[in-house]
Amino acid sequence: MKVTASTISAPSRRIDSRTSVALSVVAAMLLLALAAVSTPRVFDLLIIALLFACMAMGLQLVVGFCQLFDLGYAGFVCLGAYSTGVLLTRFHWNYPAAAITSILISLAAGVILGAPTLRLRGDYFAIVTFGFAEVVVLLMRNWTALTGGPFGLGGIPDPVLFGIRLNRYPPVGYYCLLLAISTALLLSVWYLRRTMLGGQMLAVGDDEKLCAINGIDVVAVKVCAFALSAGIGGLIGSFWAIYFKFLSYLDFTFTLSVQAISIVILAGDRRLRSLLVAAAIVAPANEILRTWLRSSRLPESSRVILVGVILILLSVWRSRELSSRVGALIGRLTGGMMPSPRANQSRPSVAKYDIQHPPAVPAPFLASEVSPASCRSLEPLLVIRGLDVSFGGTKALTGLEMAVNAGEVVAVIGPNGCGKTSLLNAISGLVSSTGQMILNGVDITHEPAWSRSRRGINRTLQTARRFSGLDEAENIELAAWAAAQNPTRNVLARIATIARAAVAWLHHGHSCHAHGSDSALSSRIQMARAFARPGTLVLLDEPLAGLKEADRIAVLTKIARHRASAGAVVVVEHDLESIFRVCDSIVRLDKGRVVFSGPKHEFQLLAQSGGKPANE
Amino acid sequence: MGTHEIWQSVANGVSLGCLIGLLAVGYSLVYGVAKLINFAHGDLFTLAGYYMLFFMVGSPSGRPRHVFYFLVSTTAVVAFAWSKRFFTGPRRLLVGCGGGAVGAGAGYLLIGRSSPLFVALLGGIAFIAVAGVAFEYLVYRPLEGSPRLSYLVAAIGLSLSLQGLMQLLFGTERRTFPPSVNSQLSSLPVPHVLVGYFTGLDLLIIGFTVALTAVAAWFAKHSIVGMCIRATADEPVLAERLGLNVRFAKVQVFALGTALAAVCSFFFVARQRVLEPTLGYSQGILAFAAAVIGGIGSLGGSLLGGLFIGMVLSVLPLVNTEPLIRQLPASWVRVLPSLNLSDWGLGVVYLLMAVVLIVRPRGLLSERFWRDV
Repeated sequence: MKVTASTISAPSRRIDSRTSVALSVVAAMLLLALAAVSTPRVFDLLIIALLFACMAMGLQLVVGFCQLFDLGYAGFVCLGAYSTGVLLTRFHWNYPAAAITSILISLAAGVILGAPTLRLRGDYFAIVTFGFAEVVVLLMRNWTALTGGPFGLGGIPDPVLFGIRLNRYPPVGYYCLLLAISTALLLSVWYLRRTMLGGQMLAVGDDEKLCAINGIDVVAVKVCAFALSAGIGGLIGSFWAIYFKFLSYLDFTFTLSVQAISIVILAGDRRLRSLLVAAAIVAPANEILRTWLRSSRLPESSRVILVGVILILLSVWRSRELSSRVGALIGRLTGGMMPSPRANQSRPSVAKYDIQHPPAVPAPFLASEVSPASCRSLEPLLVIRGLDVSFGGTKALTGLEMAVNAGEVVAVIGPNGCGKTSLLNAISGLVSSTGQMILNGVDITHEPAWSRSRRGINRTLQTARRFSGLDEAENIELAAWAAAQNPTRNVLARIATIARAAVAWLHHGHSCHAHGSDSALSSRIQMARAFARPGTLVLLDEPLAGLKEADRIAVLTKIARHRASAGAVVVVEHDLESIFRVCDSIVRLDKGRVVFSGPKHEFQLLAQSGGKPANE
Repeated sequence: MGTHEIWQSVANGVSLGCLIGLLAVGYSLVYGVAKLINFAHGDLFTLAGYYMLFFMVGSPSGRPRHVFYFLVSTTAVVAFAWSKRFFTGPRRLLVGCGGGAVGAGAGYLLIGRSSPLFVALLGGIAFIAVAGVAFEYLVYRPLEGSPRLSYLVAAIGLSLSLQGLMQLLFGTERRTFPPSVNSQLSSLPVPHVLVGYFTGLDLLIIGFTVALTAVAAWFAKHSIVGMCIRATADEPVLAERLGLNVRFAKVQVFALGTALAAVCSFFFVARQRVLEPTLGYSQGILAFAAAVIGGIGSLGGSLLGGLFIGMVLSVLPLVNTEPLIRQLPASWVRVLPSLNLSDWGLGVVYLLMAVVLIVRPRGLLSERFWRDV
């Protein structure tokens, strides 16, 4: 994915400001006022537009945040609609109970479908959701006893809410109910994006591997997003049932899912503001198109053609810069009216940091007071026994034994292809391995990468990556948050301090002209992220490669400081001269085996005496 | 129900499965390189059926002249796209017009002249390949470098608009090949042992499917073009750096995949005797499910997946649930959904697909894809 410098320097673009959400709520109030003067036809239009906006918001969690292709959203709406319909007509429940049951049914369906299938790659998941929607439709067609089958389900009564019976003509009550639902949805989705769960969803959408090494349980987050979105689908369905009064499985075909997705595509980014604008364009346009076609006596197939062509144009349009230009125009128009577009006061944003005077850094973060001698203990932080890693027959590592003590810096050296990176991957759980691995006395051999990360294994990747959907502070905050498993308010405050300090470090003491470069920024972010937790194990994969002298010294200082905080560092590096300045011991690999392992001075002695450092 | 009937269903399943499998092979080919669920593959399959139908019919019954529009426009687009190698500016439009003229000429020679079977078949294959390339150029090419979701939506859009166009131009009624062709195909000889299980057409289908899959697999594995295609599929950027023409590799794959769809379409319409605009939607989804079950990117796997689905669809109605229903209390039967398994064919297919994916996330026969660690 291409990230330009402009997106880096403008973190406020990625999140809705309070002002824009407040403005949306005000718009909802205005819509409420519209209820007093509307004709039935206008009501119909408004309600359909709101329904589509709600569907788009539900879909946004999955498609927009997690970047998953959900082609079966109509299935969840269908489930919700038929549940409410059946409960109201066949079992005579009251509406609130039926609505809550429908939400729960859709939610459960989301969990049941999502938990096993969200491990699949994107396209497979897309086709599974497609199949799910078809199966739901099939179920509604074949379950004639409950759903009326091919004849449809009719006679759904007007609901009674808080003692008020909603009247169908004119549908003022329905309209107000839907308006309340959509406002509540809007606020909840907005709030979700500001919580860490929302941040994790965005992170999952950006880079799954990076999530795993940052302690984010990718599948759990995806299931969460999918189930929430399914629940929202159920809610929409339950309103659908009471409003339209008649349900036919033909209403919930693939076309409905496609329409909902097209709104998310048109919105393009992950902001609610764009989503609402898109819904306000698509839904009425669809209705107007339909009426126009009906009146002009063109066949139904021409509508299908039009929808198809519009979809193609939409996706082509989104891929071109055109859309961003129009988006910028909309931003300028709306931004000019708003008092402060960057009103994210509660979230640390880079713009606020004073680069010359960074904020005071908390003691445990720098740990400069802790003397290195006092924390050099012999208690091993990580023990590896008999580690084997193989890729389909090729052995990358064989019978590797290794121990890393707290307060120790281990340099792993060796020629290319000797298994250095495989070792780091095996320790952080990115590749499967056999053997035993014990971290802090806990056996982590069978744990997935995210859980190892939570136990205190931080690593960097050879080519630095970061979550492009999150801003700099959020990138670091997220990793620290995932590490603290049950964050209390106190811990959260500390995480925020750490993140702020880390961002200050990003900008302080470095040559500033590299700031615009994406890879330099990513590598600094990942370095700050890896060292964000004192006293843990940090794995660095060639951290010095391609750095200038000033930056090298900065990284070496970070390593030394981390060691002083009773943490351990395993560093893979080719630049021996630099790394010898900070490391305590050396592990030399060759062809997947350890050929030397011991303190730095022994290695240097061996090297000076001309003997090959080998103890095979 | 005798064993004879069971074997008949199994034989039916094999033939049907081969048809689905052949479509799935084309799907798989395109997916392997373009990494896109080409929803429009099924609709090109239908379009190929209409091409061949209107090449075969003699009298201007139906609406044969509408095929003309497709022929002219797709050849014009392809000529326009191809001319980029030689010209720039307005001269490309001239080349495009020339291409359109070629398409018109071919249409004049082929449409509504009750061409012999072979001419119709080859013409249909050639022009549907042209159409596949044209749609690749028009729809997927502008999307290069955009997120996968855009590709998916564009593919859905293309599928919908093709479906709508065919409904508008060819009408929604069900059609079939002219009786002369049908009788010609049904008089194919069958070995004595297989009479009652397979028709001559079925044997032809099975033979062609296996042969074409083998040829396509050999082509992808051993030919230079196939090697370019595989290199493009693995590392498009690296392939381009090596001087391979990545776009041309994609074009070749689209042409090949759509040509396979055309062959499949001929056999499908000849066997099932049905051709309607929405045919490709349902068949295309089945074929994609087959490709997924078999392991997308693996051609043999796709064929196997197709056989699997064909078998499920044709054997499922044989399972008699009457005794089971009779044993259940009547009050249960009244509330339960239909227990007649033939109502659930598609549902069972999707369920099996989900199960296969959960157990083997890359499909039954897929080679392991090497991904960055």
